[in-house]
Amino acid sequence: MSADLPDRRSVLRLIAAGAAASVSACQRPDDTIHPMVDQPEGTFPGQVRRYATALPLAGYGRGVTGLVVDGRPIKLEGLAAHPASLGATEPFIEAGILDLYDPQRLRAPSGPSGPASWSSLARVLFESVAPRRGKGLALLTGRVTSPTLLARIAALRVQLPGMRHVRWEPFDDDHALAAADAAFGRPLTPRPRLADADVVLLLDSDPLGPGPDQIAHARGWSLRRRRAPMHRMYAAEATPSISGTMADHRIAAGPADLAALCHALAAAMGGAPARIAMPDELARFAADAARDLLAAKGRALVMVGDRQPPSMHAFAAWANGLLRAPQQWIAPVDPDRSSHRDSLSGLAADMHAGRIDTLVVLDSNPAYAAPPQLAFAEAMDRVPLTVAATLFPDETSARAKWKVPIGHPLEGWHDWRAPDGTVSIAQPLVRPFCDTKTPVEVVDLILDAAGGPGALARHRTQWAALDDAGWRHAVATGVVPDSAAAAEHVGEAPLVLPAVAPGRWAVDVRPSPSLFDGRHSTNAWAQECPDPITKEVWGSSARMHPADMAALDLANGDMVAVRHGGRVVLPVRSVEGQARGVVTVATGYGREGAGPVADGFGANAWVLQGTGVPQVSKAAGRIEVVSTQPFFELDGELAKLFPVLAPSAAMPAAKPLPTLLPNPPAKGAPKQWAMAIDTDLCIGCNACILSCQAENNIPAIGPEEMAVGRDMHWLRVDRYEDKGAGGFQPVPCMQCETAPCEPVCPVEASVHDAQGLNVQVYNRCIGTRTCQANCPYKVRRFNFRDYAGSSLWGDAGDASVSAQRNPDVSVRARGVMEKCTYCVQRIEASNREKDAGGVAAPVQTACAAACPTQAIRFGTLDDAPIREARADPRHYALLEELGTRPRTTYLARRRNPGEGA
Amino acid sequence: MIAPHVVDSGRRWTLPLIATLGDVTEAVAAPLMDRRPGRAWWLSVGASAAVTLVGAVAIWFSLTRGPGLWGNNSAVVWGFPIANYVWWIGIGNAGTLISSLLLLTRQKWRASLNRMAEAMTLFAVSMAGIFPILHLGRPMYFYWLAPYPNSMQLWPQWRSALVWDFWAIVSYLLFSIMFFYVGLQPDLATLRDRDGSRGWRRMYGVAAMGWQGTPTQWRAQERLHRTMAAIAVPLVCSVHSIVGLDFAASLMPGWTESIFPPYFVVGALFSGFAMVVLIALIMRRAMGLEGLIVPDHFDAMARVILAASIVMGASYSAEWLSALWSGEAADLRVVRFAFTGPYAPFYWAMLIGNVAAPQLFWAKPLRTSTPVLIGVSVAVLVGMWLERILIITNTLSIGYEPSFWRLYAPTIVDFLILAGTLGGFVLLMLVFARLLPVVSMHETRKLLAEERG
Repeated sequence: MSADLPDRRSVLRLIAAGAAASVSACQRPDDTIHPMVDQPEGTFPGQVRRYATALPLAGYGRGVTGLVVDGRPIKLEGLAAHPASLGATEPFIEAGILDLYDPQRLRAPSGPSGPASWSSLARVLFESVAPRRGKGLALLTGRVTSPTLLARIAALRVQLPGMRHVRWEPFDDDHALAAADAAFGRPLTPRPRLADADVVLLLDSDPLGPGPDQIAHARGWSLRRRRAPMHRMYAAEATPSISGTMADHRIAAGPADLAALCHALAAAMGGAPARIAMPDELARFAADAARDLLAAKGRALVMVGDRQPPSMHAFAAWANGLLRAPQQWIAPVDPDRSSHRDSLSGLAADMHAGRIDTLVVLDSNPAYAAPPQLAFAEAMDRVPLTVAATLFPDETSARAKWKVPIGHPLEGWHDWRAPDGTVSIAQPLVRPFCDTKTPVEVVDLILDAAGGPGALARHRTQWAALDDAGWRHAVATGVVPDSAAAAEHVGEAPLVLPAVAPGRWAVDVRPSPSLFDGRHSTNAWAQECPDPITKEVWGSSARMHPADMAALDLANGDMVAVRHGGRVVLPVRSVEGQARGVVTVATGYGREGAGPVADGFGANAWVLQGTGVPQVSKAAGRIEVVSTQPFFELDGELAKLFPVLAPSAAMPAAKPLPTLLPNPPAKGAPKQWAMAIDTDLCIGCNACILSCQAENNIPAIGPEEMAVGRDMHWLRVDRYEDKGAGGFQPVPCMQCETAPCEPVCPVEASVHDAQGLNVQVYNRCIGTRTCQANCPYKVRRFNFRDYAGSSLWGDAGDASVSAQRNPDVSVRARGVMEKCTYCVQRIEASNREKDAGGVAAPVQTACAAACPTQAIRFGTLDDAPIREARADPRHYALLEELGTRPRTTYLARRRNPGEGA
Repeated sequence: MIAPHVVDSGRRWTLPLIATLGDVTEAVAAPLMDRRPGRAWWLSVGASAAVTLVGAVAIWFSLTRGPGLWGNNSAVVWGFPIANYVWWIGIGNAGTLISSLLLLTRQKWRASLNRMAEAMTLFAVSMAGIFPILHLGRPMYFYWLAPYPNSMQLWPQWRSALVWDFWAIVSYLLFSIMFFYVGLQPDLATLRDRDGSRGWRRMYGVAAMGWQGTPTQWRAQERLHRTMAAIAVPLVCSVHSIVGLDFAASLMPGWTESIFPPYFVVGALFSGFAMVVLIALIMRRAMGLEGLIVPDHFDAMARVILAASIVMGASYSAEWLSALWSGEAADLRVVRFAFTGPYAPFYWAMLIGNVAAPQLFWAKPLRTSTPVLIGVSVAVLVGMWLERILIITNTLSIGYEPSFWRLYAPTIVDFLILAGTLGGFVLLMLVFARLLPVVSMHETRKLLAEERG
């Protein structure tokens, strides 16, 4: 062989090097991102790496852990160190990962004459705002808690003194701040500590419901609920909420009832104003609540919903002062002292008057969510230069002359404050997929065509006080240490009482637990996530009291027209526990121009933010909004599915079923997996459902398939109501020891493994569906169509969405049965780790990891959490009498209604 | 109306217009070999072929697009395909029962009916056989139900009733073909030896496999036929018992009932006899077989239907009663749901068709009245089909978990597939009528000979 020719080994080496070079040339982030400090060395491809970062909701940051495989973020989990996550998640965080890959995202800037570039926008902006030093420029954002973004806006204002920054959040806290301002002379935010509250009174407040504080409140509440003696939660609310469902003593109360309740409470608590006539039931409720609150001074808490009038917040401030409630006051995390509503209406008025010539809307959607009387969309048409920077096309960007894409939070550097003030510096997990900028970069672009030094540099400068080690630590752990807001000392709040103003109808506009204010409407997982109360998917109805419906001759599904400012026509649904005269409508629906996932479902509740007397009437037509659960009431024998116990009661001992086999049966291999779900702690938030969906590659199937009843969620959360005692029951696969699905499968696709798992072999399944027919719990799911391969995103296709998929979980084909596996991929990863001589972390299923109240416990039968749960007097197995011997078992719901019940 | 026949010299199962043994052969063979098919036949073939084609297209779409085209959902995972399968296999049961059970019990009148009943069996089982495969999520892997050698050393799961079912259908179909053929062989030879077109005779000759009618051959044929009949009876019972076990070997309320296997067998016999009555009425008219298929045949079959309907009524009562005396909430719920739920009209229709309508047959004149026979047979067939679908939907719509109670609504594809198999069945019967003797000539000749004494 000639010497100058490369030999075989060299050729192979060159090919390998070339292949490696082409692989590494793919989008590797140039920026330095920091892995967890305890990340072990010697990582390998396919390994899941975990990075701390954060996601915003309504401007507040919540820490998350991003699970990244080979450069792709595939799942978000909680971040234990972060006070708004505490290691858990909620539906918005879980669904957030899909937004990253969503094909509906705005991909590139476009101007009035079609596709454009960021630099051309910068030029246009500069020409418009520089000559007049910012006069006529308005920057509209949502709530801004980001120190860096606030600093950049402040810097911009130095250069453009005429500029105006309007901060507006659809679900605002104006009333709470105004009440504190009146009571203490400065706006303050209450921070209740549910963990320390023995008695809680909720006045149309839903601390366990959707919002930036959901996880923190839910965790606090669950910590207290685990402790004896049992706490007691009173709820007076217009429509059943998550918190109301979990309350020990709940009453339906419209606006007038709530005001009257305040009067009665004030009287009973020694405020001694005039008595007000009210229904007996309400009076009893007030007396019971007042008695319990007073008896628990120092550990009693009154909470008021954000949308209640300032006077009711002021009443709560008085009551909490009197009760020495476990709550502290902090300076608002959002430093903008102006009122959300007033600043937006001021802006709209100026726009109508032609005083604004440049409007930059940054990640906000006023054309959709602004009150109808502002006519914001029309006002936008009067502004010569409108720029909408947004993640998804929306109503505002449709009206704007320039539409520019901002990146997903996981694509860039950000910082946010949590509702308690804690700062997280959020690092990107992946390079931007599209030509996007972060909000900080967009603000920089207004004056600097080059767009400034970039988000990383801006954040590093902002946090210059942290040395390199401190910065690394803050980024890697996800929180800046000791950045929480300090408690403020407040004086005595005077007693203020809300006016009782009876009216025939009241309109109650609430955040959708799946879509929030509309910013998650484009998310297919969120749309398909059942509402906790009505279990509606892909749409929503107006909720009304059955008697009100009867008065208007309405049946479920009939259309009802609600007018309050604007007018919406929605199908109606009767809801048990709705207050008389209140029509509840969820926001986030009725989107236009936001893509095939969002458009055309339900009606826009925001147009009901008008003033004056609401009108409700029957309208023509019918629409049945798809609901995944047809019955909520459990009566007779069915009540045993969801036992509700008195505080210290125990479940009746189950009789051992007769068997010819050794009893108890031999346990097999040492690791026998089991799950215990505490229904007394489950708040039905759906975090587990979406966590499971993200972890296990469960496709969203769309409204038509949902209407046929083919939902694919491996885990469903049933809600039951039984004479005032409601609750939620998550139902994953029971992993029965004697599983009825196994002997009926003709091809042995449904088999038991040595770890006690009832496993489904997708490759072997031929789709007879006999297993699901014979499953008493109905927890198996069948791929009636090629759900994994079909797109819900219209013409956009789903290629990008498939990048989210977990590489450790098979994507199921059409015609295959699937089901909850107890996240067997995580169990096996742990087994592999142990086999390799490593120390495996305790296995958590996706649902257990997500749960804000830690109601789902997972482990082996020998692990303490499971052992303790199985020894608990409240322990029971679902449909135990069938002899299936489930491994997933429950702890019974408790209710502590006190003497009032 | 069927003309009242005259009882002459103990002849009960043939009419005097059939005088000689040769008349029997002529009555059966002449329409087949001498006459060209009439307009009605061509029209029927055209219509049924069109319907079959539509059904085939629906099946094609189902195979390419998946079971998502049907009305099944996550709770009611079974629907039309399983109901159709159970219904067709039930009809397919009667043919062999009539042939074998009546042969063993020396019911000579079976002679003029068994051929068409056996053909009906073959075709019904063929239609039934479409569904277990079609209904699968991944039909291309249906053969995994068979224990074939494979590299993964996997065998079917013998505890599953579905595997037994697979074997029951396969063995029943194969057996039915053989049983049919053994009975057919002497007649094929008769046709071979008869005057007629050369092509037809050659074809029959090949199929007759050298049958000469020697005493040895007759002895062998009769012994074989009788032995097969003895095997057939348990086979017939097993095939539908196992279908019953598909449901009964489960945990679901309304399915876990030990009465299911016998009740399914009787139901099968019941619907099969109804179908035989319809076919016999049509063949008798269309082929001019009034002399061989006489009112007493219908009288006998009507009695069987009546008896079966009483057993069916008793079975339904046993279902309700077992729910009542066990007091199981889930079982009671299913029974209450059947009578008062959204499917209740269908349940009542089923009870009318299966239990009430056949009671007309208590009156002797009605047992030989053509309109009544047609009406009751159709009512029974519809009622039995409703029973099959309601067994599925009632239980699966109202299982143990109220959060997962879901209703079932079939789609147009479901109906087209059902229609397609009906069309296919009719088409096969029409072709059979033009291809093979619809009445067993050798057995009828024997019957005539015995009746004449």
